[in-house]
Amino acid sequence: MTHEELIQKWLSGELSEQERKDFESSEEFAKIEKLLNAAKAFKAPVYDVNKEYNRLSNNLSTRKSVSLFQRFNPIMRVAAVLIPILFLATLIYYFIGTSTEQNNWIADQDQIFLPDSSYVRLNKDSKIRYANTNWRNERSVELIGEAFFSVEKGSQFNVATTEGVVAVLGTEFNVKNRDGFYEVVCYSGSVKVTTDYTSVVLESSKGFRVIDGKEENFNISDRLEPDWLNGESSFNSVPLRVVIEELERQYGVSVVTNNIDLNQLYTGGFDHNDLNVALESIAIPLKLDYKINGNEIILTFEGK
Amino acid sequence: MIKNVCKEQVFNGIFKSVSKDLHDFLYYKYGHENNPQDIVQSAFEKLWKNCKDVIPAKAKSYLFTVANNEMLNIISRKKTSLNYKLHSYKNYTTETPEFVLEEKEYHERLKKALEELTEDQRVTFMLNRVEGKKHKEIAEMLGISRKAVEKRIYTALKILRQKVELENFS
Repeated sequence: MTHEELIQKWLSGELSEQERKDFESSEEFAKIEKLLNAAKAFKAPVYDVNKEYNRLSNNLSTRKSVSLFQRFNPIMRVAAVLIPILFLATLIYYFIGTSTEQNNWIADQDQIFLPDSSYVRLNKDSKIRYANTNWRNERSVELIGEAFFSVEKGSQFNVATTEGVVAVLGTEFNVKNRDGFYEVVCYSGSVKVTTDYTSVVLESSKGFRVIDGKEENFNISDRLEPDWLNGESSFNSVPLRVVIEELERQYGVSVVTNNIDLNQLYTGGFDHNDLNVALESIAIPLKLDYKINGNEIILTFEGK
Repeated sequence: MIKNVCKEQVFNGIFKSVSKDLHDFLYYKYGHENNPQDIVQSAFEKLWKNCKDVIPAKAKSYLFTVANNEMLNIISRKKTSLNYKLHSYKNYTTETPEFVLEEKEYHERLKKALEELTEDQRVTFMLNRVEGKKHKEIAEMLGISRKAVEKRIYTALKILRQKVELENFS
């Protein structure tokens, strides 16, 4: 076999066991191996399939509505026409029947005072809304994201999220509702949490959370308010995924992970003032490497 | 029997199985300056628009063709440049400065040599040796024969070695 053939056959895996062993112990092979290893430094950047798919869906959703209609069968077409009309009629009835006025979402505001001087503090990327007019009889707030509530005594006060409702009379508590994560912590008084599956009453210093459908009760040591009010996010046995999402929100960055188990539990916290310090508080205990690339952060598990 | 790719699950399945390969293909062939991520996006947008006319088995080659054409349309014919990743050095800290310098120069030569390969040689070589794609998979992606894939990889390796391995005459 010529020299050239040997390399060709090695590349396509056609050498016999013995031929391969002989070749791989040659000096020639050491050079080839060096080159092939060095070439790995030029690997393509990480491609986040899920993230890119979400981006695509967002771009498509506007166009989709037109072509969807053409693919409906006749019954669906009738429904497609009728449902909006019914919806509109209901809406009109609702507005005439009651004079309740739903306010717009309030976001990007640190501190919000409600009509009864209860107050709310919103974490990053969070918003609330509430009806102004009927406030005395029905104190009800809708929340997306995370907020700390300090509620004045009075009639029942409700905080509704997609995951559940928290009902209280007068107290202080924190509600966090993010993708697959719902957590309520009571800091004083008591609150009642109701989700689709369960209902629990929390006394002060107690917490309740649902992570990916799994419920859990926990205690907090004597704290008066959540750490995020003081510029720090802290976590106790929380999946790494939730921690990374919080980091993305606090710093407005996007994190790409490499070879990392996102369900491993993390206990600790990070600061909101210095991205490097924050990254180290996550990376060091979990033995991760990080790289900051403008707005993108790459976290890699290096093993050992 | 699924006739086309208009169903969201089908479309999503195709995205999950093809998008990364398509991205890597565009990256190795044309470099990062030509935004491979965006080309992948627009190729899939086009697939969605024409979903009625594409059967699932043909979706992959449809995407590769559309993306390649789109790239050629917008390409500024800049010389392809690959991202130079510095992290590959960190193992050398205990070595002598001469060794570090030598390694650094080796990497510089390799970078230049990779950039000077033809687009087809580079994409074939990198998909095989760095991404670990099988010859058969690459042949499908590029629409060429397995033999041609093997030949390209060998030629690429030969050229790279000529440019990178300096003979020591001293």
